[in-house]
Amino acid sequence: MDSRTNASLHVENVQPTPSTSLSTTDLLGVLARLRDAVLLVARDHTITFLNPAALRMLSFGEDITGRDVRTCAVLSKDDDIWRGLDIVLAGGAFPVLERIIDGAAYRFELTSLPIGAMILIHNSTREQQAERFRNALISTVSHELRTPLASIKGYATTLLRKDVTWDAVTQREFLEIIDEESDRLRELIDSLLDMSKLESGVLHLERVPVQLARIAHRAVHGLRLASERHRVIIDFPRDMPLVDCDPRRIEQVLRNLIENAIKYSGNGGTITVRGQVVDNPAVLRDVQAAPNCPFVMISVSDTGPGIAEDELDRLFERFHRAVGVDQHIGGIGLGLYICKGIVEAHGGWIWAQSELGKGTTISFALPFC
Amino acid sequence: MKTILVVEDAENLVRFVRVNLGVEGYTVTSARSGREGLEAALQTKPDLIILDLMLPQMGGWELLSRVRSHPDLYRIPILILTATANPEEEAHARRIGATDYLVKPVSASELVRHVRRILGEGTPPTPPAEDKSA
Repeated sequence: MDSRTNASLHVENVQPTPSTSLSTTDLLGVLARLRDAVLLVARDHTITFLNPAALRMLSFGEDITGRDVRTCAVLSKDDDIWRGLDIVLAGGAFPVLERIIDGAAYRFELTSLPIGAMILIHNSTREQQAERFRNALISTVSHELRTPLASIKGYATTLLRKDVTWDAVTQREFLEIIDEESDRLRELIDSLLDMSKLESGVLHLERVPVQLARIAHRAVHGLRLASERHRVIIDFPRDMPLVDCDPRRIEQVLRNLIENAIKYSGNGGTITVRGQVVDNPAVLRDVQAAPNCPFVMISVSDTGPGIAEDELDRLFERFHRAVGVDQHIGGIGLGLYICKGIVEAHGGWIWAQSELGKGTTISFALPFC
Repeated sequence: MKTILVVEDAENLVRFVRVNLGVEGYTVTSARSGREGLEAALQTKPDLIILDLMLPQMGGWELLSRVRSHPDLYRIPILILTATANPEEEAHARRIGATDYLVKPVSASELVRHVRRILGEGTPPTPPAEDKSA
């Protein structure tokens, strides 16, 4: 979109008409509330107007109306802006300029007006960060999608080779790899869709009263990453109350936590899935934002190498992969981010505790008040 | 018999390369990290290295530069096989010494064709199928 053209259209349209009852004070009030800086410059380079945002950005709060625009360091030091200003003051047009000032990104739009020129400065740091994130997302996602796709394409074309005949056992093995990698691809796509739902706030929950112990058993039986080296213990009290939650989503959280526990304790060990009712939230003083009501707490503990303290906080960040984790441990770094989103959508919260050399426990709590 | 070292951490992809180049008569060995890859290269002095770029313990980029600056290894051709489809990275890889650059996914025939070309062997007449079974 050509924002420069829009800006000039906008200004040209602000002509008082008989039907409008806006006073100059009203219009100045609007300009005063703008986050963008607006500076008007007369043909002789005198500053004729600047709004409060322009005061903040350009003159450290000092009113520089009536002065020569060249006294404004931010503008006069920049040759392009300076050249542009002369062009628009002479009635010409000039493209939008992007500038980084003190680590923040700004967009300078210079527009010719009958009374001189308007300089509009928009802080575009957020847009630029979003843009950078989008680019990083696309590059990460395409890399992650290509990896399973490489196996699918690779083995399919291996089977299709006309110059080689594979025996039946080998053919079956190749097909199993294709099948397995297609599942991985589907999971990646599901994760991306979940991420998108969480971020746009449209994750739909179908809450019903649920026996969490059953969900835990189902999660363990449904593990894709079955491991012979790990022992999984499920420990829930018999009198665990029913909890209002979306069983499919909570099973997804549990499966993810258990699979992580298996993946990150590669040498085997015990994984404990424990449920408990906590009547007094004060028992979890360390956990921030614990609600003041009873809740059920479910923990998944492993006996793996543990996670360093400074890594713990970042575990739930999107696309975060723990430092030192071998790339062969598959994953895009969305699993715990999605778990957090699901738990929080239930009004609950999730946290991690770990001790190097001893293991990690990820717990989540769902209030039932 | 020419030997090829595959440095790749995804097991399924190592096998894909191994079976397809194996039936072509190459001896294929593998390493799962950059560090292992460098050790294996020094030990076996392969005729070609097929290298993934994202690897644990010393990435592919570092391995590429190390091989190119090592007096015993610098002549070994390196075929990059990566999931990173970025023209700038490809240009950079070629600049620092990659012989060829393939973006995943690749087909079996594409892989064989590129390897043959690098090793200066072109496409041979189709051999009898019985010699080529797994």
